[in-house]
Amino acid sequence: MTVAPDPSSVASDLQWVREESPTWDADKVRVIGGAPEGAFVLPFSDGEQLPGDWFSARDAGGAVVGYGRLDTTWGGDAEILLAVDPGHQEAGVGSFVLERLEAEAAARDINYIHNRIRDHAQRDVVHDWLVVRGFRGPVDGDLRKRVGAGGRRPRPEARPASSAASGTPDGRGPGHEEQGGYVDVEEHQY
Amino acid sequence: MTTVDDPRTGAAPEPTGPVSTIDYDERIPNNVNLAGDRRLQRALEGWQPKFLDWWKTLGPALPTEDVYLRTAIAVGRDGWAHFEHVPMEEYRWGIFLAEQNPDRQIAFGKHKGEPAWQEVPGEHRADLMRLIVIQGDTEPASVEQQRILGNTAPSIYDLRNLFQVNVEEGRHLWAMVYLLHAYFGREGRDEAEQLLKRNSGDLDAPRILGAFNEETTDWLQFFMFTYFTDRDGKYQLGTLKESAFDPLARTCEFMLKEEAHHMFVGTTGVQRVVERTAEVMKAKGGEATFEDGVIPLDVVQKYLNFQFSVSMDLFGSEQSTNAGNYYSSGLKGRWQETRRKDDHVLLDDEREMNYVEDGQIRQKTVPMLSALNLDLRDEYVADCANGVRRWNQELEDAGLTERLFLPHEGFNRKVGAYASHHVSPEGEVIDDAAWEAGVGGWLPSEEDRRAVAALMVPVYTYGEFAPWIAPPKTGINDQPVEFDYVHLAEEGMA
Ligand SMILES: [Fe+2]
Ligand SMILES: [Fe+2]
Repeated sequence: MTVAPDPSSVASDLQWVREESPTWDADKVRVIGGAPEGAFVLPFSDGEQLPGDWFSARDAGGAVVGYGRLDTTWGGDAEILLAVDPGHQEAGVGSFVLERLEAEAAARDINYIHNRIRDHAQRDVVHDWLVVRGFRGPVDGDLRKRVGAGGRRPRPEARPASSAASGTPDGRGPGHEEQGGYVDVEEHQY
Repeated sequence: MTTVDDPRTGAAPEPTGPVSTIDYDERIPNNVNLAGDRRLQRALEGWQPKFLDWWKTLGPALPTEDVYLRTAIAVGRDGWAHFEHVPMEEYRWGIFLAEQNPDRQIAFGKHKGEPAWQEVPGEHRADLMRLIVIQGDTEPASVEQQRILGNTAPSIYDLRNLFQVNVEEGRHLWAMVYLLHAYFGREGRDEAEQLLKRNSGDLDAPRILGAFNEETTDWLQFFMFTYFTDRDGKYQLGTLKESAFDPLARTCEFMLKEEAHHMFVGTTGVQRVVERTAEVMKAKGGEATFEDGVIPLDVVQKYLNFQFSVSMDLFGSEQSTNAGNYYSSGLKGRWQETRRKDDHVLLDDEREMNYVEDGQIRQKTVPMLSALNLDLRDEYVADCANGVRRWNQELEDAGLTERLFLPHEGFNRKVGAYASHHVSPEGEVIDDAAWEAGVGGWLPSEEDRRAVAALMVPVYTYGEFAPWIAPPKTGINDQPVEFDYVHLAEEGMA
């Protein structure tokens, strides 16, 4: 990440654009590739499709000034990536991207996002930047932030006033599921 | 462990297969020789009262004297359970890992063929800890969500099954906390504390996933949750069971043995609901309604649609860089990794995936490594279809032509390729207006939930069942269905 702490003046004329079919293109090379060495490891080649949910921050003229990515795996494991164009530092782009990424996560019913800062020259600066914005965690581990408070799905209002002996011919253990037994996953019947 | 001959507790069969016995003389039952590591033992004994506090505050709300519960007394290949009536707060939550195979090798990824890890490699520490924390967060969440369900149990048999699932989800929390304490130092201990501090529905510190923050208000929802969402957890456990980090793999392998009964509870719970509804439909020669005292089939379908779609979201986006990294580094395999007939490295493999473009569902080819969330989700969907077949058998047996079905994978999705599109249960991409017009027929409305809730009148007489659900075919551990599985406390019966 290449963003530095900036005043609360989040750029208000920025647009947030979802990339339907994200690819490794010239804009990404400029913005993400412009980060300090070692900040990102994204071994993609030109035109390659990118996994994850990608979004760009664009200025009034439509030029890309920053990127955000949300990578989600099982159970709400949601990692963010954000990058700001080297020519647009300290203009609130990073804060804008982060705010929008938080909203994207919340819209997916995810309550926490995380980020890990790779070891590079500006690691401490980036760590401070994230801590100021509510992340908690060590500089060399996961930084986590609660997002989307109050954005919960509305709750439904309605309120209500052995067993087969061991060594059975099929080789299943004592009990079986219907008897409440412990059963190896290979033998699950339900 | 003593073998009790009390006829009420049922004869425990002799264990078979290699057996590593569990030490029940310890404060924390375990088969990991906890007594041999004083520091770890003390740390976990320090966590134990916090867990018990959590159980008393956020565990089952219905006051009970004791419950006929199983505990593991050995983790041999075939497993071995002991059943007896125990006060729930005295349940012996413990640490049970499946047998160790000293020759176990890593089955996939860039470390394929190397010996499995008995310690956490520094480079994978943060990722492994995150995977364990996320797994650990879901386990107690469902207990919190189901806290008030006992108040409306359709039978004592079902009440017992609810509590069995609850105590074991509590044990699964123990399983993850053990790993955090034993392998992740101070940070791990901090995370273990957090697992009790984040609570379902807590606005400041909720559970990690939104889906685990909603109260389970009725038993149809509970059965659907256990069928679809607990199964979802089972599939994640299946990937962690393949992990190169051997203590995690062995932990998850034993958890999967416990899950068998949870899956049974969900599958047969819904099946018994359908059986009862089908019976009424057959007798009437037409639709069954709430006035008949049962849950109408279309409402069952709506509950199914809801729980299936939110469970699909749990898998994350179809494509993920992290999922590929977890695999390549050996942290997390695929479902039944060792049975897959490929190179288990997947660098050159591809697969098809669906996406939406111009109002159409299209297919594209993507690198396999980027699509492992989807790979797992597909396995899960195939398994989900088995239960639906079982439920439909009840309809067929009643001579009815109506059928239940799994909605399309794109239906009601908030995560992944379908997230910004509306898709009907049949798989048609539709616009906002069509969605608004149809959603009342696809997802449970407030009114549906209220009507289901109105049927939820507790039945605490042994052997009797609420009229909206059929009795099971057999009882637990060879006991009759009318067995006194739960003794309610005086105040619970009022
Ligand atoms: Fe579990
Ligand atoms: Fe479970």
